[in-house]
Amino acid sequence: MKRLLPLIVGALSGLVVLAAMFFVPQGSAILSVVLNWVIVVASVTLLVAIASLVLTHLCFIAKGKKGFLLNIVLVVSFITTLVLGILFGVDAPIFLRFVGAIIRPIETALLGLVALVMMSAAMKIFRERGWSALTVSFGVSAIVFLILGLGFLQNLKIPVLNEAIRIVEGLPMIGARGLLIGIGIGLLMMAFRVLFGMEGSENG
Amino acid sequence: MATRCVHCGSDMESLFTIFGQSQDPDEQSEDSLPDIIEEIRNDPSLKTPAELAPIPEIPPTEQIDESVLNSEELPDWLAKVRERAQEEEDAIGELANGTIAMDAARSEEASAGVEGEFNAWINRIREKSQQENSVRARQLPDDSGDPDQVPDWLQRIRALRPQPEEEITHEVKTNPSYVDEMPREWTDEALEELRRQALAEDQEQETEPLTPANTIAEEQELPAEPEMEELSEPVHKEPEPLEEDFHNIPDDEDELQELLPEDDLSHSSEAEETIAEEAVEDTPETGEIVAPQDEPDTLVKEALEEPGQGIPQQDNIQPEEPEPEESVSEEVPEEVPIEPVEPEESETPEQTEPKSSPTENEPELALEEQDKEPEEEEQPTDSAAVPPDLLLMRDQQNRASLLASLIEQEGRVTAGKQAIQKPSGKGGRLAVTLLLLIGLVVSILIGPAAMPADAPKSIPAIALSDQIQTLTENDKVLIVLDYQAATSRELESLAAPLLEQLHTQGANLAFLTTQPSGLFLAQSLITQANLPEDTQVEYLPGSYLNLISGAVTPAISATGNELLKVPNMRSFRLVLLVSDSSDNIRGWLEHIAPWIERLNFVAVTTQMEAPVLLPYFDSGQLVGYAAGIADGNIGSQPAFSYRAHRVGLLLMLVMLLLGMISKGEADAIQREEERAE
Repeated sequence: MKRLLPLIVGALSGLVVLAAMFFVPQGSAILSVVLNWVIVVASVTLLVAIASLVLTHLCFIAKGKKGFLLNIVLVVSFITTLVLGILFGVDAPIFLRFVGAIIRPIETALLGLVALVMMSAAMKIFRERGWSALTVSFGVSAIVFLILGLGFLQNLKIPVLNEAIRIVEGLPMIGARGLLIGIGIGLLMMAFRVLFGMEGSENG
Repeated sequence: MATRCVHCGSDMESLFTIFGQSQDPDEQSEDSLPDIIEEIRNDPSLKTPAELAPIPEIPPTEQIDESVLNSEELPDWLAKVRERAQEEEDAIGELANGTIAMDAARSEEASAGVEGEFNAWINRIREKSQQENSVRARQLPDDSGDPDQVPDWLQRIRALRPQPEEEITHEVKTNPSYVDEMPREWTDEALEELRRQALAEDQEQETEPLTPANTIAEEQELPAEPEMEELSEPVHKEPEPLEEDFHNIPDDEDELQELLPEDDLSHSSEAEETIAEEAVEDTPETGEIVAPQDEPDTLVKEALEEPGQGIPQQDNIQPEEPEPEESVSEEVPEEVPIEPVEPEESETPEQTEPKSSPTENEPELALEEQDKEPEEEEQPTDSAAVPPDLLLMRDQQNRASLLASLIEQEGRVTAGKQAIQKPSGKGGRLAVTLLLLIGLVVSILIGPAAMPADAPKSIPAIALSDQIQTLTENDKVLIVLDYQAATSRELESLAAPLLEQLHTQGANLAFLTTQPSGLFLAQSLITQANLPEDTQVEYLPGSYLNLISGAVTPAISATGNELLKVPNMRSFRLVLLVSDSSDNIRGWLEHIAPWIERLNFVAVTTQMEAPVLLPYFDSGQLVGYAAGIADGNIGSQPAFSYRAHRVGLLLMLVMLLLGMISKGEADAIQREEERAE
């Protein structure tokens, strides 16, 4: 029963939403209500997650666990943001500027580090994996598109070359189509598995 | 079936008789257990000096019973029982006395125990047999006047040698002891063949006298003979207790000798003989001592048959013993490569002979002990001399030599085991990082370089630009902000010129964000696009899923949704998706766009996500899109550094080529190494 009840609820919910999508004029109201439920439940879940996060880090600070200074930073940042948001309001320009001035450089720096890591990985892939079809195709395609991205060849304004470049730039579409078709089939199969209770992870 | 003691064989049936039961006349006539123990204890042949201490008397139980009887009144049945017990005092006393006697015997021999007494008894019997052998050897006539005669110590050993018939049986009996784990190369068949050859030679020697050469060879090889003979005897007599006492721990041996009484020393000497035997048994593998092994049989036979030969006293024997030590120690190193075996062979005649030599009375034992002590003091302090307790078996010696070689090689680096040190790559990595950083910093510091206006544009970007230009005044455009702060610089650089153009054309812009961070990110975008500061940005929880019902049902869109302040999506002409996630763009295109046919969708996304959007652009679901800095020439972008972008691309290209070149170089080096090998 412990596994059967979530299975039944999940399957029924999926079938109801699917039916509402197919029977549009009649099922629109049901679809709207279900979606509002999802939004409310997701919001409450987010609140619970925030509370759990703060309590966990408070416990770490109380126990003096190793690295508790980082926990202090997190809790102080959370409390400061909460207090400022309550005092000034989430739409206040000063509050938005304050939050943006912190988050924007941090996330941009992280993305720059990702670029460096990707570059290092691209350099080491040949040494680690050796010469294989995967590494050679990766290297050749990366070099080709990097050269195209520089724009030197396009600036030559040679019609034949431009046509060739256009064909080459259209090649990723082929891969993207295959990727999208695969994603669609996979989602369909997963939806059927969930609806018929064949997916264990959905049952908790 | 009578119950008997496992040690002394005495009948213990009386211990198990129950009071009141009738006993057979034979059982009553038998001696009780206390009597048997008392008889064993009083036996003069079994008596030891340590047994002189009196046995503590245990108070009789009758006195205790009487005190208990007098202390309280008893029922009739119990009084009758006790009265009968007093009348039949012997029956009760016999049982109680047996138990008490057993307890007393055990308490008396608390240190040694019954087994110790039994072992002492066995040892005394063994000593008796040895004394008888020595007496028989001494009864042989002394023939020391003959100068060609063999040494006295050898005569004595030959006298102690058993008869050839006994030797044959001895060999047969000792075969099982060779089946154990001790490493041996001599098989039973080989020994039997050797025995047969020896018997054949004996027959020849009976007819022919020994040549001088044979005598010399015999004298050279004789020192090993007493070892062989003496060492084989204990196994023939009592192999099991000797194996139990064998150990290689010198301290334990010393403690054992201290704990054992003097009469047990012979027992320990037998253990030493066993050790020596195990060590000597390995030496025949070299083939040196095996050849004359059969000669002692004939020599002993001759010594026993010749009445004129006599054995001098042991005082005369002791000084002559170092000779075989030297002869053996000179010969063995050539044949036996392992060092610890040599001193053992040379020491065994010294240590085993005096202890195993028979004595008739205690003064002789004392004399032997006195002779033994100076002999031990006279032993050379050679470093190669190893005490018998440290003797090792052959496999143990092999393992020890292996360990010694390993210890010698410890710390030395061998050429074959040297690990090829791989380059850590930290230096190269640091150089690459510095090159990248320097290039980017320099390209940024030189100043923002706008993308040339005449640079070729991508087809989706051209379509996007055309779509925006088709908008007229008062056309409603929905701007959906769905990106993170990390990609804000890239997306805002693309979206700001478009928004500015839309605002210039007079379009009504409505901003919607699907992420909380979009609230403050939109402020930056509005500032870059020179839009009015009072432009409202609304947060849409649930992203496009929240708009599905409104898109599906026109009625809901007309009346409005409380969660969404953008009431009717059908009133918009264009939806501009500014997103760093192709999945979200796909969601808009797949869930919202099909329900509103006249609504056009365009997108501004990162260059990384652009390939996924190509199929949607190709199918017409997406009217146009701009991706990354490469499409940055669709408008004026003052904050955009095209030079830095190109420098980054160049560095990426260099890194890839470096990776390929380094791999090719490594392969070439490896091929060269393989060719060199």
